[in-house]
Amino acid sequence: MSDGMDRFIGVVAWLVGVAAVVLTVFFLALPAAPVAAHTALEASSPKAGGKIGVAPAQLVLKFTEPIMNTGSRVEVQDPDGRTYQAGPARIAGDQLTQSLAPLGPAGQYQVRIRVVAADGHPLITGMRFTLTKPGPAAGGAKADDRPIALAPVYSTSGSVNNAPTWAPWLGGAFAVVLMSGAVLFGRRATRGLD
Amino acid sequence: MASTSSRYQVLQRTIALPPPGRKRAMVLFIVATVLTGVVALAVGMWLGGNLTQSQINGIAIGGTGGLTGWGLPTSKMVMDVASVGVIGMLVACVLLPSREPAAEPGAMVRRLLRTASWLALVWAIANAALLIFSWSDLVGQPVTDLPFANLFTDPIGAFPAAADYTSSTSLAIVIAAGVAVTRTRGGALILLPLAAYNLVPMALQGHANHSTLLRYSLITHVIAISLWVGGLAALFMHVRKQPALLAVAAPRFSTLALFCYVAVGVSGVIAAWDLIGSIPSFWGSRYGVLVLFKIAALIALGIFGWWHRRHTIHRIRANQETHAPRARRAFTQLAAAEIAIMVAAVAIAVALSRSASPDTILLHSNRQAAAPVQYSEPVARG
Repeated sequence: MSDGMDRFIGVVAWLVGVAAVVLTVFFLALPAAPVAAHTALEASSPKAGGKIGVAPAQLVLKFTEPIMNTGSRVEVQDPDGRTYQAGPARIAGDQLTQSLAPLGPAGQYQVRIRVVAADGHPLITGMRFTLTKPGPAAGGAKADDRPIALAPVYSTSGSVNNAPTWAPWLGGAFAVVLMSGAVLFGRRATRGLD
Repeated sequence: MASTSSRYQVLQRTIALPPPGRKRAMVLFIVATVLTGVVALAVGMWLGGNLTQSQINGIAIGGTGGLTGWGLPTSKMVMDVASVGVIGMLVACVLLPSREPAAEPGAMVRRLLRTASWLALVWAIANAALLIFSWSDLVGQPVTDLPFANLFTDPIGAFPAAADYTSSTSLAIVIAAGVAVTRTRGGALILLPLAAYNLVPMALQGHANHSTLLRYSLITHVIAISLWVGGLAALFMHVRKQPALLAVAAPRFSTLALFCYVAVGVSGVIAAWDLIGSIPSFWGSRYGVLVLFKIAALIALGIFGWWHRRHTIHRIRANQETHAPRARRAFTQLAAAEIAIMVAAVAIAVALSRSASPDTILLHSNRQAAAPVQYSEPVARG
């Protein structure tokens, strides 16, 4: 009775295992792009790292996936440390628009960005742009508020999600150690039981 | 022959009356497991790139403080371990024999339920802490600056996921109370699905938002893990002390564990592949490295399971004086090692739930070829 039951459970377990493998292969074979977890800055206006002659009236940032309305913050800082963000950022889908006060002196402006991805995970990043002529607040031309083209953001230092090259090897070595440990420990613990 | 039997008699005596050495081994085991968990969590957070994100490009903004940075993964880890424990204790109640063999299952059920009740309380507290830390992380403010009154007046505006956290905390308290007033296997059987259901709201936070496939995979993964890891912990903590009960519960658990192992592996592979999507990003990303650690843990646990099925389980079931004591000792040792690995795997899972998936790498590398995006609509003036 008990043996029959065991055999039955064994057969069921095998069937479940085979079904699981088939199911896994089926899902892995689905031609789906990997889903995006977390977000990254994809495009911006002004161009990240670019030079502009006329001060923009707003900053537009496009991310790789929709961002939440909560927890976003953008700071635009001139070379002297004054900030120019005016009012809260407006968010629509994957795009954030931050109105700017009239910019001041010429020079490099630093943009600090904090947004929260749709999965609730914050992204903290930044970019810089250079104003070649003084802005409206420093006696320059009126701010430019025409529709603008977003320029893609290039990553100079590679993604922060790239692992150090030794990391996967460390993981592999750890796997080998753990598995041989399981074999050796198991043999020791069950010594005399075969 | 005579010497063999006398050795087994000695072994039996040590099981009937544990000497102080056993107690010291248990303390050593608990310390080692906690240490393993802490180290795995720290290494996982570090390898996952979760400790350095606020300094990208040398630009820092929106500091939440170190309290949130470490409080969030710690409370998540405590919550995970406690919830797994609750479900494990309830599963063990159900696996016990319904009719009494030599030992009395009633006392064992009550012992399991008492532990479950305390763990459910820990679950609720850790869940409440996780609410506060997640909220702080989301809005980018230190815990001390959070507008707590808004949690009652405008929860969705203050923290969109607040309802998930508060309902999960409340249900954990209900489970704690329910378990505390339950004394029977039947009661445990009623509370078990409730506890398993309470895993769902927290499993659906974070990465699960990204696709339906991921949601189903993660729910399956978390529930199967809880039945398997928790059940083993319950056998290890309590049931092993009553050989007659273990003789029934261990084989039943072994079958359950096999099913759970398959479910964990399949759901894990599907979820990981959904987020990673290619071999280079598996090998080259921080996310992939953490997944590699979890695969290693799963294979190692599979090896342990093989030892159990090959050597210990059938002898524990037969419960013959010649072999059972030795098999029970092997079972305990294997289970102890398994639990330590499982705790480490949970810690890596916590780090993984905070880590960016490698898709962002592909986007970064493909970016060179991307054409400028035309911003077609006129920009509204604010």
